[in-house]
Amino acid sequence: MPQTILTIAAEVFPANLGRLKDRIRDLTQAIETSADRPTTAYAQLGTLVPSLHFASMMVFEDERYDPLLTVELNVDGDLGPFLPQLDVPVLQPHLRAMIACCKRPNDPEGAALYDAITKPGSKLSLAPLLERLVIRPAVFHQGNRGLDRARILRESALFDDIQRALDDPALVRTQSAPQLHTLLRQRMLTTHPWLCEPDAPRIGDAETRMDEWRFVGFLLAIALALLLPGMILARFVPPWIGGLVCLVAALLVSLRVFGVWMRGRSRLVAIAAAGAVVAALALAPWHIGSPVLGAILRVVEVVASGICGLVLVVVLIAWRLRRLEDTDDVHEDPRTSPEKLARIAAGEDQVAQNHMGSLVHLKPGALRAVLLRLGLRGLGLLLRWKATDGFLASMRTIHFAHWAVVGNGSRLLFFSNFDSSWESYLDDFIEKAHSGLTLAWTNGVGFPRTRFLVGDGATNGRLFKAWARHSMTENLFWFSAYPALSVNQIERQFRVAEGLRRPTLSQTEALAWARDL
Amino acid sequence: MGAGPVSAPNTGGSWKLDPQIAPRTQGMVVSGFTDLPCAMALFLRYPDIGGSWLADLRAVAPITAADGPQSPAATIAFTYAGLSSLGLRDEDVSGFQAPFKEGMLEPNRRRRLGDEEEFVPNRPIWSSNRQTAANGVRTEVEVEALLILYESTHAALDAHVARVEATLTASGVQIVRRKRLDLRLDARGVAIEHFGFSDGVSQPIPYGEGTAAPHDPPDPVHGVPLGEVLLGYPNAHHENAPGPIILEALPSQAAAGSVRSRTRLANFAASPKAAALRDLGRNGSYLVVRELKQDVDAFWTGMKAAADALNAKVGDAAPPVDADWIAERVVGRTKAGHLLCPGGHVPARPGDVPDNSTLFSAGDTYGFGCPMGSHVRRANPRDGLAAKPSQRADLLAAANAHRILRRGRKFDESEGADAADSSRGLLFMCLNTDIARQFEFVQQNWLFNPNFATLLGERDPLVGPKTPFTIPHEPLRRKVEVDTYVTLVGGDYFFLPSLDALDYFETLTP
Repeated sequence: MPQTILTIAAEVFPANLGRLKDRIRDLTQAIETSADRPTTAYAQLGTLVPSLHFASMMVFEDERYDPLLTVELNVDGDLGPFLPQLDVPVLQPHLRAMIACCKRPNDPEGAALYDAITKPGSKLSLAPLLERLVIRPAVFHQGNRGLDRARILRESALFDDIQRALDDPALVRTQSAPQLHTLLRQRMLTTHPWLCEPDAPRIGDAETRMDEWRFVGFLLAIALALLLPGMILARFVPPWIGGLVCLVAALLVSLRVFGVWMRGRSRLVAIAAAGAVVAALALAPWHIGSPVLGAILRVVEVVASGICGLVLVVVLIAWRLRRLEDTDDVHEDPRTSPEKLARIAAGEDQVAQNHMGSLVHLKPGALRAVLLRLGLRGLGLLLRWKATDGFLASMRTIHFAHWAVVGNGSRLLFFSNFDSSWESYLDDFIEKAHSGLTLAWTNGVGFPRTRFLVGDGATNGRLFKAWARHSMTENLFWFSAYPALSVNQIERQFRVAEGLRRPTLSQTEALAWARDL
Repeated sequence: MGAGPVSAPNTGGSWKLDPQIAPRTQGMVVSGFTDLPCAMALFLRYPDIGGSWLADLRAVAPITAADGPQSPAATIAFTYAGLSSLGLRDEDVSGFQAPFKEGMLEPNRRRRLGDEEEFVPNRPIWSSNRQTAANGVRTEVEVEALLILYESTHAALDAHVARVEATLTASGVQIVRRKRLDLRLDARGVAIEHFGFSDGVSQPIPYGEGTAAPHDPPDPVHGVPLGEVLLGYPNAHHENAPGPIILEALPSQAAAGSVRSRTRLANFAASPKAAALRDLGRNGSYLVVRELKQDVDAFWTGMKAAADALNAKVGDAAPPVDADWIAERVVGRTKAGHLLCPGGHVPARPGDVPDNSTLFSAGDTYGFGCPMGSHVRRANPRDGLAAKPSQRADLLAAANAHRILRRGRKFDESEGADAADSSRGLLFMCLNTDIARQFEFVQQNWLFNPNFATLLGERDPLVGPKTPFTIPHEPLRRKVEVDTYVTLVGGDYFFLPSLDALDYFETLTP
């Protein structure tokens, strides 16, 4: 079953900030105390909202903005069926009180909903207003794609039962793996009859094809967008002007190439520019003199102009980008109050998983705005297509993570639910998967110096960690449906269950299967 | 250097510092002083008396530099509180790391390091008492500096210690704790810890800028950039390991009018980050110290119980195992220090010297030889966390960004007059330049990580709390329970200054 990953974000009326934090505390308490038995905290929420994997509530305070309340949700299925689950009696009054601490929306329809919901004694569903506040992620990633929560918990219970069964000397003394498989299967079928039922594939064929096509379509759309300027120019501009532009461009670019080469700064820019010069020069003769060309030649010319334009545009963008990257401000020593750092640290390392919520300002300028959106979209589609087994390069510790742009492209939110400590999470990124992370955050104000959007950046370990820590705030509320399970463990118990679903295994299959026990 | 496969046992001794840098660096960085087997750790306190006592101390016990053998040798390191007692002011210095400033017993850090009461039944008795949070633990003994004196014999050491203590006392320094340390090398020159296993076999081998042969290739298994153990040089995260920086002209010292102090400040290199700042940390390091008590009887009783329980469960299905068999799997090596591998152990080098150049991922993917959860695999997984063969190189490189240079020595007070106070254990000491990324990472994400590798709900079976321990086996893994055998008596983070920094500290006034 596909999952939905999103954030509900609303600006808080500043005078209500204290009240809002109290309301979130009330909500936490209500969930804990209404639990039938004092198991893990938030156990009740698990029962009330059965499709919830991870959720967080945070308030980002920022001197230049009003506080921003974020409710991060990672759920099974679509948003439509999910939102009404939040109207259960234990949650609804608290969520309503939280909404009342937020600013009234500016648009008439939103304001009307807000008024109706926050009116004293209102019993209206919160879903319509929440839906308006939803921010869809620009990039998201899942560690155990295609596993819904019920299945993860079911397989975890099976795994625990197996561990208990394996204390039995009769099983310990089994000499062959296929025999062990048969014995365990017999025992588990009585308590876990679902092992006989067919299971759906984790990622359907249609979904996989869609992911492929989306990425290819994205690349094609970018190529087309880059071809257009040259093609349009060829269509409307008299040929001799085209020729002149090409010649001038060639001259400028070759001067630039010479300059770059002289300073020995960037070989890649030099090579790209040289390509542009050649393309421009090759095209110039068609324009100068302008003989009467046939329709075919005209098409060739338009396409060639498009390619020429593409190269020129790419070179110009690359040149401008490198200038920006070399001169953008880098935050050397971000100051965060020790009290805030202590509050963040106090919430960390309580269970095997941790949570990170971060909000950063985005760099100004049209080029940055375009690159931000294209970079995130491309990264998101690529991850969807390629990272289906949970691995980002060689790291697999992320359950659910996403980036989302807020405030008309002024700020970038990041949420992640991951295994082990924050330090190890960041080190994993720095040591194993820095390119994607650099691409996602390169447009953040103060991010360590990057090259061509994906180079350097996050490899500057200390700068990057200080920058990331500075952008964080503490969890006011955090829920995990399976706090003891790592991404690797969820895959491990999945493999164990898959093995048990099959009536028999060959010797090799059984040995491989038994290694996970 | 070309260490690794062709070198003798990896004691980390096959590398040298650049001759320009060695005289400015403490000897402990390059040497464990193995030719001086007897040592005394003196824990010092000197509330706000300034730094002049350091000059008196160095007259009787010069702090050993890295460029030559000296007997006796000495090492000194300071806690953050200790630096301020010397007269180093918060407003003049920046860039000390958060763990060092907050102290090892800061409540959130205790939880991360697995040092909470839940795991460690007795409270630690010494630390710098630096933790700032209200619910922090305060220890009975408060330490500001650690001085270690090394000698060739115990008699010579005792005489030397007496002289040094007299000098310290005369200068107003209190000695709040003493620990006699011992190396007790075996015939091969390998230290044997109290449970009977070879210790300190695996060490990182620094390479690159700042070493005597900066262009030599790194050791393929244990190579780390020098900046991982020495501040001011390129580290594993592509930057010069950042140390504390100090204002070029200190307002506080100008008031005191100390010309000597300003002259010595000028000895430091300018900070590469900005003008008017001096690099106080360069050629220094951070020293992590943990006094660990080892319950030897409980360890062997526990190993025996685990073996008995396993034998009872397995019955006639396999040959019975003994306590040694379990203990070797808990450690991951034989007592002689040879890494376990499928079918036995990695063959010894001539002279029964352990071969430490083995990787895990190709030869022992599933831990059928050296269990995934064994102490050596958790303490340094090498490439063993690779889930696919294509990830091996990446994972080895990533693991080597979390290495520590160990300089610990054991103590044994079990033969003392007061039996109730008797204890044996290890004064664990290690050098690193990024405490959070190196020592704390190893402790939290490898040794105490319940989800380490593909395990669930287990912790390090040797130094961790009571835990299940999986021993991979075909067709079915074996699982035993082990208890707590190692407990924390005290510990904290220290700054190991360069000799230049030490010269400067001498001039400080309270």
